[in-house]
Amino acid sequence: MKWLLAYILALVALQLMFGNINVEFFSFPIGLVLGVAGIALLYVAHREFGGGRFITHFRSARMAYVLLALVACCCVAGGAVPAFARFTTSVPFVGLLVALLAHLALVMMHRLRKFSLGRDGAFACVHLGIWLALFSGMAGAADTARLHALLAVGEDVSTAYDENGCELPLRHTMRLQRFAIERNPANNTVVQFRAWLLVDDEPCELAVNSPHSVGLGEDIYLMSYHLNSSGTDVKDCVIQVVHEPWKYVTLLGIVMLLLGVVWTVKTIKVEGKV
Amino acid sequence: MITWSVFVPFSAVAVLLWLAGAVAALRSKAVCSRLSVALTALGMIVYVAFVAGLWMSLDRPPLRTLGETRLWYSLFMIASGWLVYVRWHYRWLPMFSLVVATVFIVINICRPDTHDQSLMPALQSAWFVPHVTVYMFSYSLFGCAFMLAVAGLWRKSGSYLATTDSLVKIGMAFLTFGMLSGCIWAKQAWGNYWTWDPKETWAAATWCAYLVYVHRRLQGGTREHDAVAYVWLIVGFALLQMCWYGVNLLPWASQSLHSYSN
Repeated sequence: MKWLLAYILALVALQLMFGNINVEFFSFPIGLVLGVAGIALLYVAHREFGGGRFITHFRSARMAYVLLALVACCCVAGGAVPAFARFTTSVPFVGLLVALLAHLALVMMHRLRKFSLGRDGAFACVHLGIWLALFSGMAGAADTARLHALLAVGEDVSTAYDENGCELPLRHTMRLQRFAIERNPANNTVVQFRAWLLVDDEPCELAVNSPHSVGLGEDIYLMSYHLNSSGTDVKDCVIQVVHEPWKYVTLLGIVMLLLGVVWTVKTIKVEGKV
Repeated sequence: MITWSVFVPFSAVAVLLWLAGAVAALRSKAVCSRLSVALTALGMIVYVAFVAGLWMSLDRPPLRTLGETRLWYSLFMIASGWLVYVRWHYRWLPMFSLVVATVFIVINICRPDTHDQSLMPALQSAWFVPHVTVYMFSYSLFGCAFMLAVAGLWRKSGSYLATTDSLVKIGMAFLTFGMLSGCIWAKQAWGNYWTWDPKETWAAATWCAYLVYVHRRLQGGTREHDAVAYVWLIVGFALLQMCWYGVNLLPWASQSLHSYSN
């Protein structure tokens, strides 16, 4: 574990010297290239040094729980201490996640070298699912764009604003045709609101929990609305356009993990005294 | 119509039946075991009747507020304790499960949340019921594992580990399903699978903590008394309490996307 301690200290030193990681650096194709290169290197290491002490130790269950324990500690620190609120882009946390990805890759390479569906199916689904979800979340963070726009009835909108307030062009032109609020008759509280839009002259309906897909990895969400000064009518609504090219990779990872979990439960042998 | 105004009589009857069942469970005779199961089941029927009636009167699932989730946790805590007793015959466990369930029932009586009828737009989703109920059930399984871990540490015995292994594996399945259903729902509602919202951060910590236990047990499976494994069960239980309601006490968590339940 001495090398792990050295690795963590190096990460902390990098954090102190350079601060948080600039996620934009890993925009496509750099994130993907680094991921593929990393897998290739790990495969070579597995083939050439798989029987060696370091690789054996790195893919062990002990390494798994040490890495997971460290990730849990980072989450607790980030959740409990406001000063660490930006821990998700800190060098130590990202470094730990990279180590976890490498560990998962080596574990799968070792375990699945002689694959048997019945014996290894659940294991493969769970671990590959976690790997895909984690890698796509990390690599995709730089490629994901979230833009917000205000739509008033009858006005064409073709620009939106990012998180820094910069105005950017949208790939589509949108026009709000109609807006409706549904209220609970018992206490007049809002239970749902809907917007009917034209997106490039194609009609679509938006509601909360009901987004509209406009392309591969691009979705439009209805977020909120503003009332006019008298509070009687809707002045405009806020829509969010999310461009997430890694969306389906993350979804695949989630689905595989779900499948693996269900598969694992079916094979659990409930033990203990009777 | 069943409302919160009749919660005290319903819960009192249920708790008395569960208490009788827990006392019967402490006896070793087979007839007492059957009596325990019957009394506990009867108490659960009374409690479930209240939950079902409340669901109908609110015209929405009673899962929105902290008080409503406590309702489910009390029910699942009794159910999990009962299942562990039936399967593994730890005679003392139903009593401790009852204590935990009763604590949350008393909290609900003393500190009722706002129990109005409306369900805000963000919660109008098919994922709402499975996401929250599956999480509450996993919490109840981990609650049983927590009690067994305390017993294991107290008695310095590894005899509970086989049971806690099974409970954690099943609990992790439900916890993971709850977490992933939350991811898919979050993508539908907010546009992101995961935002490191305070609630999600503590959920990740909880998930990792129980994964630590699973892998610890894989690594040291032949150990007779694994105190570290027991400690991780206690740590995991503390983290899930933090995730469930502790996060609401943090001032900087007031902007959390999950604060709709407050």
